[in-house]
Amino acid sequence: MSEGLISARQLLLIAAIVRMGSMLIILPVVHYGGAPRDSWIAAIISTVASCLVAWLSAGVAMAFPKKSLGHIANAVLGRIAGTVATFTVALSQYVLCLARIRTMSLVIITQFMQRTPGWALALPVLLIALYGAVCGPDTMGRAAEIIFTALAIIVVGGCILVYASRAAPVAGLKPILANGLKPVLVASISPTFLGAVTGSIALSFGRFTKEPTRVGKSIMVSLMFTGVILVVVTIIVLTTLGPKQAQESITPLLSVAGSVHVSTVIERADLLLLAAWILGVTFDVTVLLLSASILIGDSLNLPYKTVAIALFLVGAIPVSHRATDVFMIGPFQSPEVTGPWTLAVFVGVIGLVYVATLIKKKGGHGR
Amino acid sequence: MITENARERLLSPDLACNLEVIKAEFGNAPDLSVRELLTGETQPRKAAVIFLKSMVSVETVIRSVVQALTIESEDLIPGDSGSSKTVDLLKTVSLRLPAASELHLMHTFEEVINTIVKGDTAVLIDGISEAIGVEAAHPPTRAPELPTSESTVLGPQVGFTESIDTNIAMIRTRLRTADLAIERLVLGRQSRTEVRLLYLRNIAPKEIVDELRRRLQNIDTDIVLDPGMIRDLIAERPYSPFIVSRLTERPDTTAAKLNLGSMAVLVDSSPFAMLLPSQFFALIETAEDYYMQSLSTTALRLLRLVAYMISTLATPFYVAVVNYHHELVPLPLLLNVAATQEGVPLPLPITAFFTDIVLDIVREAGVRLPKQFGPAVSIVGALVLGQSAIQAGFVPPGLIIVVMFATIAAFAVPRAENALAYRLLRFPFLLLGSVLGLPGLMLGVLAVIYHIASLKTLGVPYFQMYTPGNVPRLLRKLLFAPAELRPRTRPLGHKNRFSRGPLPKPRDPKEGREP
Amino acid sequence: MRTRPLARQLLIPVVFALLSALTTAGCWDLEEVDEIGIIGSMGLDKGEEGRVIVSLEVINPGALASGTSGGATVSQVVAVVLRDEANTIAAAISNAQRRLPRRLTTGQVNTIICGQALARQGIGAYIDYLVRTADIRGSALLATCDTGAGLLQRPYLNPLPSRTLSSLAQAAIGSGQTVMTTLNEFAVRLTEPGIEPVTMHTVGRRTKDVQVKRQGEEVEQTEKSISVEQPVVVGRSIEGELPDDSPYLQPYKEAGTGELLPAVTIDIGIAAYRDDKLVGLLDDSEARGFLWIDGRLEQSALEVPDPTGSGEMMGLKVIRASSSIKPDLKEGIKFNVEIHVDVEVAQAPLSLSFKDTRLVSALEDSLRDLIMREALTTLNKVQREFRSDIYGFGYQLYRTDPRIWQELEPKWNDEVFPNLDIQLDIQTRLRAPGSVYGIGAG
Repeated sequence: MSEGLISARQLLLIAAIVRMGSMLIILPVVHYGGAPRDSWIAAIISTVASCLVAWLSAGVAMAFPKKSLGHIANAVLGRIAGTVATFTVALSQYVLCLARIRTMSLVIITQFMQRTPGWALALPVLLIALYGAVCGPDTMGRAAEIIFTALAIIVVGGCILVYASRAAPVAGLKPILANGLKPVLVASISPTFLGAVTGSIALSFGRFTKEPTRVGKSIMVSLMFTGVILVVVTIIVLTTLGPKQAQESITPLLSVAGSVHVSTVIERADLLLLAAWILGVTFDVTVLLLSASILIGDSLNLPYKTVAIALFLVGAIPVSHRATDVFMIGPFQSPEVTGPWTLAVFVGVIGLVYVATLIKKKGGHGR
Repeated sequence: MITENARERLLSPDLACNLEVIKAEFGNAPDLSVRELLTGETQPRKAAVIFLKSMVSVETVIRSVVQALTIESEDLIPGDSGSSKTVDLLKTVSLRLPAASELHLMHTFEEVINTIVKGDTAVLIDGISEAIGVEAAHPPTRAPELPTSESTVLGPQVGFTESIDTNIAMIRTRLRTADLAIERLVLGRQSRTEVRLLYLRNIAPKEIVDELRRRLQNIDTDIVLDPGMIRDLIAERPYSPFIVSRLTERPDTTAAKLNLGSMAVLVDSSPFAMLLPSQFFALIETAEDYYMQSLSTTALRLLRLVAYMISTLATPFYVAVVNYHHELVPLPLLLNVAATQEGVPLPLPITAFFTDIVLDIVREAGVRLPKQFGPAVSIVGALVLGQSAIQAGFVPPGLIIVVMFATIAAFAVPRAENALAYRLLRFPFLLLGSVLGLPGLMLGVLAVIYHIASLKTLGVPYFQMYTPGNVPRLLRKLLFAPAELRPRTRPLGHKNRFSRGPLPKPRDPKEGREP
Repeated sequence: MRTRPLARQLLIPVVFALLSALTTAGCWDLEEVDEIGIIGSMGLDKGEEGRVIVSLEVINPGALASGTSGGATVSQVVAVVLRDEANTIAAAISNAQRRLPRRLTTGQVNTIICGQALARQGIGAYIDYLVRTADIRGSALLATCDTGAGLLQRPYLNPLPSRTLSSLAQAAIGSGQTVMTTLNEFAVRLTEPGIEPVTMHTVGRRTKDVQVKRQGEEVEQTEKSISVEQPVVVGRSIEGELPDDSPYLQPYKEAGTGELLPAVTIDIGIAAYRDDKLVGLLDDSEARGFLWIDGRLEQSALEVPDPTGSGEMMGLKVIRASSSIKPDLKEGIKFNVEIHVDVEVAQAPLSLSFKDTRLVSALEDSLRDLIMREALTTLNKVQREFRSDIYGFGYQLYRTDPRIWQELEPKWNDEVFPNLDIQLDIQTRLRAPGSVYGIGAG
């Protein structure tokens, strides 16, 4: 079971859920940047940018099939530099995993269940993430199939509901680019970061894929597919809430879902959306935890299951520390933070590994 | 009682001694029959035919063995009594017993005893330290009848019986190919049950068969009466509520599954066959799916899947929503629920929990009710009990409706053994829904999804929605599309990918060309 | 055959055990549904010194539920109206809580009524509360009334006052007399440039007194209110609150049947806002004028004089109406409004035959005149009196050319909009003569 493999299609689904889990409720693309009305353009730009950044990760993964970044970095950069490189990527994923758990429990508690303490949601989520991580990548692959189907049904159903209800579009998308391109570019930084992290799971899951040459294609297709969904969701949010409201709201899609009203049958749909989101985010968190464990494990030559347990124990405290402030979400995903982060880790470090890989390969074949 | 060592002793040439040992070994079993006879005219030798009266068809034994040995024109074995000339006993005797079907040679007491116990006949001849076993077993059995656990409206109406030979015959009738491999195992220290492992040689993957055989051979237990008993012994994850092997009483199902690459394990004295490996979507399959029109099958399968999910999740969902998420409920419904909830003494989660348990008890009791009392007690139990509980104000009617519906939805899922999952999982879900509301329930669902996704049996994953390959497996398993759309590949078998050739295009006979 | 060590197999039981441990700490947010006080609608009125009086209609489920209920019923009161005054709505609700043994929940609020006095002062801060609270659904109906609390006091063909208003709104929209504005839409119009909010406006008018008879008996109509299913009002009184003989409180017994009906009709119209302040009201005849240009008219019945000059009136029904506003920036700021209307004939003098195309086009012409008249009357009123761009001309300008809009924005409502040059291009079509079995001569 620990050496089970996943197919390229399953990798696609895993990456798609990881991406969707992050962007369904909190839409950084609308939240940041000065021009919320053009955030759908920012969504498109960020999709393209994510593909580019993710290509670096996929390239590294495909250059050394059946090996993860842990092995590769050690091979091309030497043990110490390699370990450091792997750790930066792994820790990025791990920190994002914990941050997401915390965000999710914060959102749910502050919006719906005010008296529940933060740890009551965060710890079970982390525990289930551990369970999934310990089950291994092939379990994740099969679970991805179910969850993706469920999410797809809900997303499509939700879009239909929004248009069927009286949440008719009142605001429009025009005028386009009234404030110029710069705010749009700023707004696209955070989603690119999230896309880059999604792409980086190729570095760990690539090892377990049956068809290593299709890793890149899977990641690209999933990023583009979820990019389309992001654009659609952004447009829905903008036209239903208006740009100003969408920008101010922490969870714009929940607000939209809360206004869905189809006669007396469905008076509001936000909790259903929430339920679906929990499935997606918890899976996403599991994948990140597993990915980080694989990277660290391979780098230090430990079995990833042990690493996962260790990461769980380490992460239990920061994730469940008394949740007081929902505004924490803001600084963490702002372009000022995610921009340099993306450049440093996902472009810089992985780019370095990529270049080193190319050199090594050429050196091996050349002359 | 003779010790183990004695059993392994070789037979002695002295017939009387052998007989004594054997009789002592059987205690004073009243059905042990020792028929001594003389073979040969010129130099008659003493021989004995030993069998268990209760296990054999006495008439057959007498006719085909005893009489055949006695009536002869030649000596069976030339030479005086007492001589230990080597002689091909098997060949000689088999020539002499044309009516006997199967003969085998035995050397030790243990073999003789096992043969007799199995229901075969042992033939011992004075002066020879070997014995012959003749097959003659005819244990009491019944004719094939309706399969009680899996009756269907369409299709063959016959089920396995307790005789393994009959069962093998039924399968052979449906798979008339020499590629049907039937391997014999004897399991159980006390029961020494005949077990057969079946698979299609040209389809079932070799590694899986080898692994299963290895596991079966390693079983070390006292009695094996039913495949269900060995299930636990060969399962990888015995604590999982999801069952990875399937028990069936129907030969047509068995044949169909064998054709798809599964393996079947038949156990003597049980009318159930165990089919391995089984997958999640077997939950919603019935035998009729193959016999009905594919469109109805599609609809019914979807319905069963929905029923399965309802049976597990309905009550926890109701409790979670009503207690935590009032905003989600339309106002008129909420008012009704609130009004009926007033005055109920216990909080809703506890009430739900107890109601669930009570209904489980009623369900269990219903299984064991004698047929005469069945309808009366169920009416009394369900209606009167439920109605009184509502009127007394112990239980809110909304909850009763949901719980009853969930229980009945569970019956829509074929085969009782599949109920285990939902019966166990309801309670953790209820707990999560009560404590953390809908988010908690979703976390539970996710944990179960992980669990299902992680199950594997004999290397085959329990849950596969989209097979690696181009054809969406889900369509096949779930929707059972009409014949043109149905994929032709076998899910399990790696050899012989296509189970069906291309369809012939129908032609209108009058027109002479395609319609 | 065990393929995994014992520790791993126990993972699930341990997980569930841990989760079970959570129950010992208590289920924090668990609220039994019979312990909550469901607020069906909210009324906002002006209080002293800038405070707001919040009226909450709290529904008693026991009195309303159909079917047998098991436990003891609390009382037969359908709804209780709690009223409290504070600077913010949240504080008012929390104050009102002390009078109710159940925990108030706003999750089911579907109507929010603002009193006129408060609306003229500005309801922006309260809209902010309503939007910010995740509990309150964005599809809640927003309405303006003479006094917010008034409409909460009397059930009207529907035991729940909150549902009364929303059903009324839906019915009235069907006849083109008002708009249905949700909370979301109001908030969007507040934040989007160049378009101002409108809401439904209701007011109660008293009908003539009628003789009341019970079956077989002569009973005098009394001035006093009969307390049958009267909501109980708890809390502060409001200045200008409805007196005891207010039409809202009077039941009305129809002669012969003894059925209880209210002695009041509710008039419906449109309230126009500028930013968050109420600036004007359109009654039901002017409302349709607004809707022609706004484009949200669904159905309505019109009367036009018979073009053949017989002096009779013809009835027409609108099947479909749509409009689009297009700025014309070639010379100065002008707007063209294209209005498409499809009608069918509802009532016509017997002598007419609609096979005559000249008749049809004459009819369409006179319809066009009617629409033009109505639309322009309302437009003039809105431009001159209200000075509030509730149609969204500014918004269309913004969408077409944001730079021009940015220049004009500061003075849009005061200077530019009242003098805006707006051309109406109305196209009408008679879709169906409306009669399959022709009685007419043709």
